[in-house]
Amino acid sequence: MTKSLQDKRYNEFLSLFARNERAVRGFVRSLLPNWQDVDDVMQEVGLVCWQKFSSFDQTGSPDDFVRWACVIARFEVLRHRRKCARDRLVLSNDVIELLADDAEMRLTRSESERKAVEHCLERLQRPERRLLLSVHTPGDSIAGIAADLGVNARRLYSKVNGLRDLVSECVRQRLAQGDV
Amino acid sequence: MTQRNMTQRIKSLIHAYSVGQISSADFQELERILRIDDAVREQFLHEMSIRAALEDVALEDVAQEDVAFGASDSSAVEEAMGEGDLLSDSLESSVPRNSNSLKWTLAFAAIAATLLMTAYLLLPSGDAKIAKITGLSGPLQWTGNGGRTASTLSVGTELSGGTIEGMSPASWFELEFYDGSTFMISGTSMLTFSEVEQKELFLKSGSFSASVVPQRKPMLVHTRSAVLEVLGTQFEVEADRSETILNVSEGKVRLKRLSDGDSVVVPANHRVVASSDREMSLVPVPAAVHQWKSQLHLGPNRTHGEWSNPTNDEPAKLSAVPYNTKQNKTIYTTALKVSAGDNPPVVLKSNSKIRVRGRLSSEHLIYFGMTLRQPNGEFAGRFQTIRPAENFTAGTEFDILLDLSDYRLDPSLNHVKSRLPDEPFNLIVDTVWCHTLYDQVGLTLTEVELSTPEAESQADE
Repeated sequence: MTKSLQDKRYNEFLSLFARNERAVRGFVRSLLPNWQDVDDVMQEVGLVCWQKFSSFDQTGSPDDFVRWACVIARFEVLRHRRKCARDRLVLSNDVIELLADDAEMRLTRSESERKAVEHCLERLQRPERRLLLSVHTPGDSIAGIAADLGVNARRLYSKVNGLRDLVSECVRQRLAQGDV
Repeated sequence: MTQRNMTQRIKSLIHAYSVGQISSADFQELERILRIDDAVREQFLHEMSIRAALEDVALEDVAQEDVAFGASDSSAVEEAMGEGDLLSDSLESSVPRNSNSLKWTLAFAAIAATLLMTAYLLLPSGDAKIAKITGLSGPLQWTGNGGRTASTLSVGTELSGGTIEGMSPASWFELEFYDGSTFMISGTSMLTFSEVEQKELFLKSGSFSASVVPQRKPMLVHTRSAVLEVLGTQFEVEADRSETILNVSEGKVRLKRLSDGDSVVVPANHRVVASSDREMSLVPVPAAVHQWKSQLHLGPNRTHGEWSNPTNDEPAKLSAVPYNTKQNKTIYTTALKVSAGDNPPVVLKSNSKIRVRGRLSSEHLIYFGMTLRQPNGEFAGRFQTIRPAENFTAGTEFDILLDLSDYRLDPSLNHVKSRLPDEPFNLIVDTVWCHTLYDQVGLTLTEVELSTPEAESQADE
């Protein structure tokens, strides 16, 4: 392959991967509770997807890349699981496979949920939005934020859980009404 | 378990798993349910999808804040690099680099590598942490698994199962399990806690209060005379060698007396006393009162200090006893439990007064204080006032009247000041205490009385 063809191919890959990275990440996140593990796996997924890109048929539908990448991601999650098998919170192979099957079936729904979350966050008051997002920033924790603010951690847990429930319910309603 | 409770339980498990704070037993339960129930898998994936979306938005917010402050974006980098592509010809980079969210992935991966050094997931399984300290004050001793002890604890420290002991009347300790359940001890109490298949606490002496979220398996609380089963509630327990007193603020607690297996379910706003020498009857928590007087002549029960019998010449008295602080200073202290046992709770009013009678061998300033709690048993702070040495004559009985308006929050609680009431009014008096610092000056108490002007007028009539 000439250099220009290789560059073109790489740009096509980047475009597809960047556009669909969030969906693939969401798939991986549903199988791993630790965001650091998710990052590690996603790095491997990106690399393997590029290495195998020649086998991907670009003539299909836009969703095909996500499904194809999720097959690779499933394999990488299982590989990661084998490395971390002794860790406390690693789901069994069979449970990961079941979740991965279900997660692949609901890729479109997950994308709708993501859009609905963005909409529902806009409906929160600004301070509440910031609070909810602050505890979801990787590296932060409710206990840490409570300590920094000098507030009761238990109350903060309750507040954040309440906000998350609000958002979750808003998402369900939007999906039920077909608003995404 | 009702469907609603089951749904709530699954939600609680998924939440605990998603933040990495799920116990081994709960993790196994979650895995089992995920394996057999596709509706639960859908619920699980929905929750994780919501969390992933929140994390994405959170990352974007962070990225946008950096752009606002002039951090480089792709166009600025492109300009700095001159002609050509942002992208390297090398394929060693495993992630495309012209995506903001992926750029942040790398940044957070670096941060996470450091965070992981202290993440509890790396701990060997034999030292599994089950709870976190959320408040503490005064001298405390913790003995963990394997007999390891620690007297230097701090808020945020995560603990495995073990025993926490308050070493003085001024001690206070609050712990939160990862599911949000909390318990608190104050004063000279000793409590052992663990969580394997279920939470189990053993109150060896003193008292504690707890707020428990709904549990799959009931939390068990053992005392020397009873076993309590707690499903989800707020309550307070006091126990000594012969009896257990349970006050329930919310929910229900089942108490079983060990001597004969007799049991009773205690609903909200009720209490029960379990001892082998009296009938176990359920009574409503009595209405609060605003006056109280010590009764040292009846014995040393519910006191801290060295108790002396009354004689023909002298009343019963309670002498201060020493304890050593972390800074290796000695404090001589004496204390009396006020709202304890099956007595009604004593609540302070704004015009309450405290009268203290006692004696000092040498002139010295004295700290007079109270440990207070909320009606639901939650710790509400320690308030104190100081009287200078000139107020006391060595070798002579003192009789001092203290105004509640002179009491201030103990400065050692400043780190949790925002969680505590500003003033002691309308709070339940748990304990009254007196102490002197550093020197043995022979502090003894003979009587302590709490009252209000109205109560005194009625008594005079």
